[in-house]
Amino acid sequence: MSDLSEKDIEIFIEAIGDYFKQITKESASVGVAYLAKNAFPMNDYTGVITVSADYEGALYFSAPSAMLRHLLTAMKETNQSDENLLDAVGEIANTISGNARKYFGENMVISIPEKIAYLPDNLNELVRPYAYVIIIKWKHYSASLIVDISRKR
Amino acid sequence: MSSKSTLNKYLGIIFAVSLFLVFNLAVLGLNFYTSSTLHNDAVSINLSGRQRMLSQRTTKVLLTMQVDAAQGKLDPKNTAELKKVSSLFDTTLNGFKSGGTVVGGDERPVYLEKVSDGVAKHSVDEALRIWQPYKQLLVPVINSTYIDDIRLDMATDYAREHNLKLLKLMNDLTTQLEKNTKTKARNLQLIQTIAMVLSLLLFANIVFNALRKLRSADGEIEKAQRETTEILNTVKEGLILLDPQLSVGSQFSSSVSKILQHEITANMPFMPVLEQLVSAEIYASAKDYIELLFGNKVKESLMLSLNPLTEVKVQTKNDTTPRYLSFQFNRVVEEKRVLHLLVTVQDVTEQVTQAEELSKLKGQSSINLELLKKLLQVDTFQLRQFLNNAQTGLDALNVILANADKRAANQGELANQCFRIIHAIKGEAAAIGLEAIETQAHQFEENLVSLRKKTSWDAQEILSLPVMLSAMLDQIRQIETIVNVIQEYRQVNSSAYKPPTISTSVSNNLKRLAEQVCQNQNKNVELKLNLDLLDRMETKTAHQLQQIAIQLIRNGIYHGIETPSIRLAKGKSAHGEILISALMNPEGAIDFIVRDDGQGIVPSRIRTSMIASGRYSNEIVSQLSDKEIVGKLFEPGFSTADNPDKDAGRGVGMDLVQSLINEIGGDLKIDTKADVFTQFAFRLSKHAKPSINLNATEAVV
Repeated sequence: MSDLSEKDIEIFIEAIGDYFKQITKESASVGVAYLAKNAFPMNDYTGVITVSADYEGALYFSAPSAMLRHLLTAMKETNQSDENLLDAVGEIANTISGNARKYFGENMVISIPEKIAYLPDNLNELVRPYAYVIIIKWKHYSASLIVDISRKR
Repeated sequence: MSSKSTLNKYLGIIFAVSLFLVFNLAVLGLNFYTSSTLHNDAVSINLSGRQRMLSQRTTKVLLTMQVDAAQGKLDPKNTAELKKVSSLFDTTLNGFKSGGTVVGGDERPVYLEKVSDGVAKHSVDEALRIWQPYKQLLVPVINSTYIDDIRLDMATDYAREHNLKLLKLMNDLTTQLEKNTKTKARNLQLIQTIAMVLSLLLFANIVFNALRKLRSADGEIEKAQRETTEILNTVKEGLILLDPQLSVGSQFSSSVSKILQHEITANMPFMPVLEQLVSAEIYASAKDYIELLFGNKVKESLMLSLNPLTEVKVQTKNDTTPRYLSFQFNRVVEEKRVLHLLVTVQDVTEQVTQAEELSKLKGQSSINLELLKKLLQVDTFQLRQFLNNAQTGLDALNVILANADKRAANQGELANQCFRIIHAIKGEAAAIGLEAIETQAHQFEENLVSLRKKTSWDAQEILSLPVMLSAMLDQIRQIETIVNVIQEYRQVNSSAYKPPTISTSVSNNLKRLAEQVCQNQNKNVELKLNLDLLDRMETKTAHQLQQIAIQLIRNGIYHGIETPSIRLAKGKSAHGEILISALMNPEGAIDFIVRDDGQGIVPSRIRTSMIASGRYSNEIVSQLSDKEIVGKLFEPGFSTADNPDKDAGRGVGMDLVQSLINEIGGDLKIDTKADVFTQFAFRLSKHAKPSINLNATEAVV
């Protein structure tokens, strides 16, 4: 098996679901996953983790600022500066990498999350011909999880 | 070895020894008995000999008393002597007659057995006959206190007359007794000799068996030792036994010196050899590890993963390139004490380098040789057409996935759309022989089956769809790359290369498909094609017609054409026939016809299958008209196949045919007659509603 399996992708999705459930006591719902190579549904703030070792590529979690503000409010955080919103998206990316580390073990080396505001919707240098796109819905907000990870051949 | 098996092993010897002991005890008993009888016989012989003497002494005393009486003397000593000897003679003789205690030679009482032998008995009886009157004559002589010449003379005369006779009788008795004893002794001797011989034989048997056992045991040990030596000489692995002082044991495999590149001898210390081989760091941890193994505190299985000497890199002065050695240590335990460590050394250089090469190879994109072979056989133009179609189809499928959440549309219908896309790809892949894609599509369909029944999708549940979609797109991309290379190569090498016409490639594809489905379903079908008109159509339309033909061939073979045996029973030829033609009518319109000579579409049979499938109740089925029943064939998910396989059973084929005809624009007409034929025909136009004629005649065509 040279590519990501269904189970591998599920790990990332579950990590986000767990995060929302734990922080807000309200589960996030997941949309039907599809493939894309451009025009990704990017939102205001994006957390990125890159992977190496047996894998290559990156994982993006992109959320609109309104969603992050709501999330901070739910966490009783009053400071809703851009910086804090970036931190929040980075925190979610961090949770995903934590879960992934547990599951993939030493086969996947995962970077510290990078936090980017207003990432363009066309990503340069995808490692996969098509990346997986999964829309995560929480309350009435939509965030996106983009998995562009491939097992090295 | 258990005590029970030891007992079994020596059972023979134990039995023989017991028998020997019992036998010897019996011989001893016999000896005892013999000596006691011989003792009795000796007493008898001795006493009968004394009788001879007593008879003579009696006579002698009598004669002495007669001479004394002539001189007027009476010696009381003689009287006493006469009394004593005659009484002794008398009791002894009676003892011989009927047995009893008599005075023995040493004046002590002994038991005298009565004689049993005929001759001896006769002698005793005769002697008693003479003795009784003699004894009567002696009594007055013994009892007289004065010289009684008359009685003395009477006794003396009797003695003179019978003395010799009596002597002879006693002599006979003695001789006979001696003879008897001799015979008895001889018999006993014979028995004893036999017993001795038997006893010796038994003993010899024990000795022989014991020796044989010992020799075979020695032989086994010798054989085991020889085998051990042979094993140690031939085994490829280096085998060494280490004692707790870490010295090499007396036996080790001959290959060990070669593997370690060091002369190994018995009792030499092992650690210095290891120290020369490996780095100081590995040596230190190996030393700890070996000591830990002798410590017996940690389980061997746990220790395995700690072994620092696995695939360890070594390079001795004799090695031109580095080698890899693996050392394995196993405890030799006796009574919970580690006696030795069995060290197995293997040269794993080949495995390690092979693994390294393999992992290097893994980095390169591997090309499936089977796939490549197939691709070289298929016309690249057609292949490209297929790849384009597949890519378009899969892109459309991806759009369905991407929009699945956005639409309020029935997701069940989305599943059917996905099904049609995948089914078309599957059919075409099968037709051009791309088995890998056919299999992928078939698996995809399997994932869609459960989805079709649901009105809404659980995103996580259908995560397999984008994953499979990704895999199929990947496969198509790979094939595209290869096709590009092939096409480039062909263009460079043969400018004269002409791709086959569409009608030829479609015909080839359909023939290949029919062959494959026939093989799967164990049926025989001859495909008759007349598709030249395809070359005059738009490529897209020709391709759509191919797709329709693919589905109808599959259905025709699976559902229509009967097995050879059924066909023969119906009076048909064993070979079924499927005719596919594109014909132009006088008005210039094109009719596309697919006709098979199978069992026809029979509403009653469809009804039976519907009820048997358990998905339809008797009531619903009976309410439907025959046309409605046949119309069911076009409903997505409807199938009368018992076991869905690659060829049929998903209920997609006719749905796809209908949707393709809708795309082309046409009017499907089905003519069928039970057990005779089924014909699908449509004129390429803008209308699309199937019209069904269940009572067609051959004239229709």
